[in-house]
Amino acid sequence: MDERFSGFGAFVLYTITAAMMLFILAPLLLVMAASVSDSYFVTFPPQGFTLKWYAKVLGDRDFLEAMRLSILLALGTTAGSLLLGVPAAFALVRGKFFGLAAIKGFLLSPLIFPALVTGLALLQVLTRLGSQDARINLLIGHVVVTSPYVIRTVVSSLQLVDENLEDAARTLGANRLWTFWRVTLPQIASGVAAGGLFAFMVSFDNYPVTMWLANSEYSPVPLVLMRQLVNVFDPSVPAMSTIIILMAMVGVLLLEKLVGLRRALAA
Amino acid sequence: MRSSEVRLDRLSKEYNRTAAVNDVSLTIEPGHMVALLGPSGCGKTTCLRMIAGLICPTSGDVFVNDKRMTDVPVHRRNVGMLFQNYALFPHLTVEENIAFGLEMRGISKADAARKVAEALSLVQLSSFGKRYPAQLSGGQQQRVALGRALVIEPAMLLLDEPLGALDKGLRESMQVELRALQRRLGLTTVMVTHDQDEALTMADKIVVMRDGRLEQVGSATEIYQRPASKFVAQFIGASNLFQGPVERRNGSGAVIRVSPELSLQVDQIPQSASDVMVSIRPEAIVVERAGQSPEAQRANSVTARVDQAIYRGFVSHYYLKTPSGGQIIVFEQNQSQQAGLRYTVGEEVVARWESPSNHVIARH
Amino acid sequence: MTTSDHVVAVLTVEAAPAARQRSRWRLVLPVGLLAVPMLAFLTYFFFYPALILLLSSIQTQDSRGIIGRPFTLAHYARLINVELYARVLWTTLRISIITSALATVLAYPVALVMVKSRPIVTRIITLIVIAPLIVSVVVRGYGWQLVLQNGPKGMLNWILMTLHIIDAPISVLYTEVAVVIGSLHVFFPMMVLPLASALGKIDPNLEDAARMLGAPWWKVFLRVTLPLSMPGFVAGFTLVFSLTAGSFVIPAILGGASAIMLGNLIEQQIFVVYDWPFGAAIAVVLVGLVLAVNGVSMWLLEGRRLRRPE
Repeated sequence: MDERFSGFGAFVLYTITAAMMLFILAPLLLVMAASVSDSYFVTFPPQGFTLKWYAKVLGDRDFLEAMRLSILLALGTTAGSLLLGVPAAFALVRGKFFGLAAIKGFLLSPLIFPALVTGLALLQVLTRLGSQDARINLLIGHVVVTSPYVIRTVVSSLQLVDENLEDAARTLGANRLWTFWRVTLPQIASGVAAGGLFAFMVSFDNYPVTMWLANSEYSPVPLVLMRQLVNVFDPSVPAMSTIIILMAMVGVLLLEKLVGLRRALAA
Repeated sequence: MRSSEVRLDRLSKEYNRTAAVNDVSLTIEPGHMVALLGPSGCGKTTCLRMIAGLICPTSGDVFVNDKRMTDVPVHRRNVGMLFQNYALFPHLTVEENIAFGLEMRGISKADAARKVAEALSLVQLSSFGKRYPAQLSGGQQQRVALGRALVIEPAMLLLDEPLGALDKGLRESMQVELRALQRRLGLTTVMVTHDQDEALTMADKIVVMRDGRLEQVGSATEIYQRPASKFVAQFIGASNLFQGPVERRNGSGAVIRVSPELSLQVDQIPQSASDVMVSIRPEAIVVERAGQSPEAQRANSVTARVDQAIYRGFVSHYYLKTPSGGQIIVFEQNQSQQAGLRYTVGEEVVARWESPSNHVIARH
Repeated sequence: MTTSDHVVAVLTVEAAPAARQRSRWRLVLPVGLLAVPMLAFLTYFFFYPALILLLSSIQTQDSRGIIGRPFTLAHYARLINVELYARVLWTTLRISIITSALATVLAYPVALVMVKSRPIVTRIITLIVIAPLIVSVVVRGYGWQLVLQNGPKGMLNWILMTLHIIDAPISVLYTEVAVVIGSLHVFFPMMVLPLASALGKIDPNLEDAARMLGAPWWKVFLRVTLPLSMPGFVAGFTLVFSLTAGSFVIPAILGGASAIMLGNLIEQQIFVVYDWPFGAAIAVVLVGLVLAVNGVSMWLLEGRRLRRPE
């Protein structure tokens, strides 16, 4: 390290890096600071210390409803995208059939498609189908955008599995299903978990698909927050945001524990 | 001009308070090829990288022709280096790779082109200039790396396990070729290797390292025939090591008692020595059928049983067990008319050798 | 199949080569079939809707809101010819390009430090870079709203005024600059991660070799590190550009009326004006833009112009 960067170059690199770290953290820290500010408007610098805004948020039925909906939706999305994504990933890595590359590209294409347009297109079709239940529509939309993440993480962990181990298990008398259950799955478990956790977080935070498919009766957290942002000016908005930030931190730490962040996010 | 003298003066490098290289002093004469030899983690690569300037020493200095180089940045040192994995720039052609160092020196395009062509012919790759490294074989890549290192007319050449990635046949021919080229150019060269054959084949002087320290410095024959320590005796080639008290002195030598059935006559021994370690190379030992030699109780001779016998083409290896449980390794050259192994497992034999083969190890 | 059945099967397979062929067929077929549910799901809820959207962008909407014939390209013409809409298209392009370019310049140092530092530093930087990625975009937009707040009570203004760098508060919020800052914050990790991954794949010996051949640090960077990290740069630039171009939340929160992007225009057309075909046409243009950039990047990554280090 000491030999790799030295002199002026090192100074420039470290200065920019430190500045970017500050840039990344500043708005989040400010939100957290504002959430305990003892004033009726959000101002800088924050004044005093109070937890009353948390009390207000936690007593807000709309917010709690939204929280419940978002968590259930994220759980459903996780289950759905794992159920569809894990077998698909297995097929992509182990299968040897015509058009494999094209199918892989197709399955991952929602990743490069603007999510906003995905949601809009889905809304149009679901409206024509007469699907009125916002909860089901949201679930479908979220599975569309999260399943590619699951496929991608599971594919990359499956690629690391030594196929000889599977062959070995089968020469020892295990059938395909048993081999998958006892040999393959334990090895890709962390990849599956990372994919699932990712699906949960993407679903929980999703706005561009959610905005089309939600309605006034069923509004997930990001939509409620957006509405509050426009209409409410007291520090309950930062308190709400802080709760979301803290939930994300738990997610990040879990992800880091499960697979390591870099690996989880590597394309 | 190219023949520079390189001197390391009490060079040390610590990582987290552990010494990777510990107080190494060494002079490399102009035009010599020196091999740093040792097991992995012995500090040889750290040492080489300190000479290159890629690593800053914690203390001590590197001198080239008595000029202190320690604070000269890498890119001003004018040192050529070959890396184990060649380190060719994958995005540049062979020509561009070789021209890289010339370009950094601001040499005109025309001069550079001429020098690149010369370097290409020196490493016998004249028709490969437009190719990319990925399109070349391992041996060809190593030649390009050599051309790239030589074209800048370096003050010295550093080789970091240069042939480790090549397969055996190619490695051996490259060893000879590289050595011939180095001699012809008179280029002071330091090489790092863990392969003792490579060190013995190529180097004028071998530096055996262990745990960051110099264990022994000497020519191939010195290191092989007169290992200074038990470590060197075992690391370079195979050795039979015996240890025992001085039984009686005779002139400048002494008789060493190893076990009830084995005593050793050594010709030279320090006056102060009382407990001595002796190394005998396996090829110095002669094996005979038991009973053929009447005086089995003589010094440098022991009756033993063949425990394992391995036929290896031009030599046979015998692992002998003495009655008290000691093991003796013997390498015996096979004769062209000979049909397989001369002794079979379980057979009783006598192993004997001449007293000059007994080498007393100073440090054990 | 029970275990003992399988042993028998293995033995028979070993005995008869013909049977072995057949058994391989039998084993391969179901593996491919595992992708079918996912394929069916995406075909019906992603591919098919996208086609319908494309179709409605060239159809007409009657007074009752029913979309059908005649086919027309009028919606696309409107997007280009009406100045108000054309400006949104240019704003989107401008913001996306500036954001990606800024992200590139700022991500290189961060990625370099991330790759070349001691493990503990790498870990901390990774955590800081990635953590906000998982925080809702709405929250991050809101955070920037607080930082950039116009008037003396905004954090940026307060700091600049306290330090006497400015005398009167500056107005950054509800401008394009605010949108660029917000987008940079939101999509910065998308640049750092591919870059760090590409930089991490570069053999450190190559940089050492360049230095030993006489290159000072900045030449090592320009001649070796930069060209070899191109795959990461292309991937990162594409990601940041695509995501910025398709964003809605950040311009809505930070851009206000003066930095409307394509996403906001689509939302307006659908939810306020109820003009589905026009909304669909804008969406198609947005998709076309993103796909074009992705196409170019794939061509660059797979073509011979960018040699990946092994």
